[in-house]
Amino acid sequence: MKLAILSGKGGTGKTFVAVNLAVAAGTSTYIDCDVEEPNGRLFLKPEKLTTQTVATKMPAFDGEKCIGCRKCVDFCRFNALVYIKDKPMVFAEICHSCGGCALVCSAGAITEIDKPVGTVERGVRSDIDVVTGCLNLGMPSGTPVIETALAYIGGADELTVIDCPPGSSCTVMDSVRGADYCLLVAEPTAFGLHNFKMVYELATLLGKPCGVVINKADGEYPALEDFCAEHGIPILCRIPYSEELATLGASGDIAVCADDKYAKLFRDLLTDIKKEARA
Amino acid sequence: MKKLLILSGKGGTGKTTVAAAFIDMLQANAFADCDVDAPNLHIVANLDAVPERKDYYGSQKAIIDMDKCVGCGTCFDTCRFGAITPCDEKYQVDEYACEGCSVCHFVCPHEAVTMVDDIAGEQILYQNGQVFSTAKLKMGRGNSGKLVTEVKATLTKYAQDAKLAIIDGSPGIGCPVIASVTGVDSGAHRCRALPVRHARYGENIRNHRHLRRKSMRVHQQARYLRAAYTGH
Repeated sequence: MKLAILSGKGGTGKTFVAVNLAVAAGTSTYIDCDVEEPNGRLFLKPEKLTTQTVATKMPAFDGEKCIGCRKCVDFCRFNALVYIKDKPMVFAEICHSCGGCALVCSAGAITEIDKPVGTVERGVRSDIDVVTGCLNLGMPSGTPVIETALAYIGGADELTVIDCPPGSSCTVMDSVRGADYCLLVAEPTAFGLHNFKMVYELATLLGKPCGVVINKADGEYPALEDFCAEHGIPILCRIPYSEELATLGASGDIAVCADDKYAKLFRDLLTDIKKEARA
Repeated sequence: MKKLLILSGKGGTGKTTVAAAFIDMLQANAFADCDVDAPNLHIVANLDAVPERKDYYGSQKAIIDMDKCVGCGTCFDTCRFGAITPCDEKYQVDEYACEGCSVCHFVCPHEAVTMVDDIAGEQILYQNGQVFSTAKLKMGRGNSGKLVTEVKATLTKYAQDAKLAIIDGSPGIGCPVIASVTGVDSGAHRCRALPVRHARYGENIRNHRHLRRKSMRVHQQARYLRAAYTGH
């Protein structure tokens, strides 16, 4: 089963829930698609690491062949090309790698070269395959890194946990698209609820079944519970707002490994998710 | 105008909380929310003014005219974003995957592809003695670096007299963050970035140091370009 962990708002505990579910399952694959800030590996501490570079294309210009027609510059929708001092020049950070400039060049002056946009790191922690996508600083899109990372999804009988980026933009959509079930991690705060609604809308748009984990559950927050009841989203679990969990998290420890009560909590959650996903 | 930008890398460390506190403490008359993917500052900003709303157009999107499409698959073979999907022996565009590069429009031998404007979000401006510029990206849309730039430009335009602006940044290290960090193109403006600290995530803060250097490089490139165009 492919399980996507989402939240909308950052810092609600996506990685916390994802890592603990992966460990609770025993044998699993954990894929960190939060490629701008991949943090799951800080907890899972995978070993036997191998790193693969993810590259897209960008143009290189042959000054000898270029006839200065500027077709490439005019074609580029991303304003990544400029014509300066009688030659075209590319801003690598802005280039979206569409290949259009090479297509329109009638002089054959453009070849495409690799542009590294990030890496995918693979490692293991006992029976867990840990896959981490890492975007290079300031790249326009995390999509190529996410796609490369998602190629390592485990077998259908096995649990694959997909730790998604925050927000509800196209990288979140890329991460969720192949999932069987979406687990939304919500925080009982005004900020949490506001962003939760956005991500719920996204999961619904993609037609994915959803369940909610309320993390940092500290007293009553009826607005969130009412929203879930109104939209028929099952609340699968409430994780308390406790100093113990905060301390474990801050020191990079995994709750499931540290205490049997958390091991039981996440095993039960996993059972509930499997039940919901089958329904 | 001096600009104070609040950043964190990791989400949920308290960027918006810090930004809101500074706005209140410093009685700031100008502020903006650059986390266009999941904006929250408006929830605590408590502005009772009715905001002006304006559609934000991102990159265009391709549309295939089913009457003209003969199913030759040239667009399918050329698209780098997997945005062309087969449909009844013809092809259609997945609007969420399309990045608007217009390559399909260029290669189609039957002129079946048109590029259309796409509303990718909404810009929101509150003016009530204070100026608050924010935005909301539409579900599943990319390209938010451009929207972030618009949000900042709007703030600068409507709050020209303000001495200090507080800017709530977006999480991460990608294009929207670069757009948040990048200063305005005049020497009179300064941008100061303040990362919110978190015990475990020093890595994210280090990334932001790199990012500031990188944004300065983008800045220099812009200057170089302007010099090349204007000759000074």
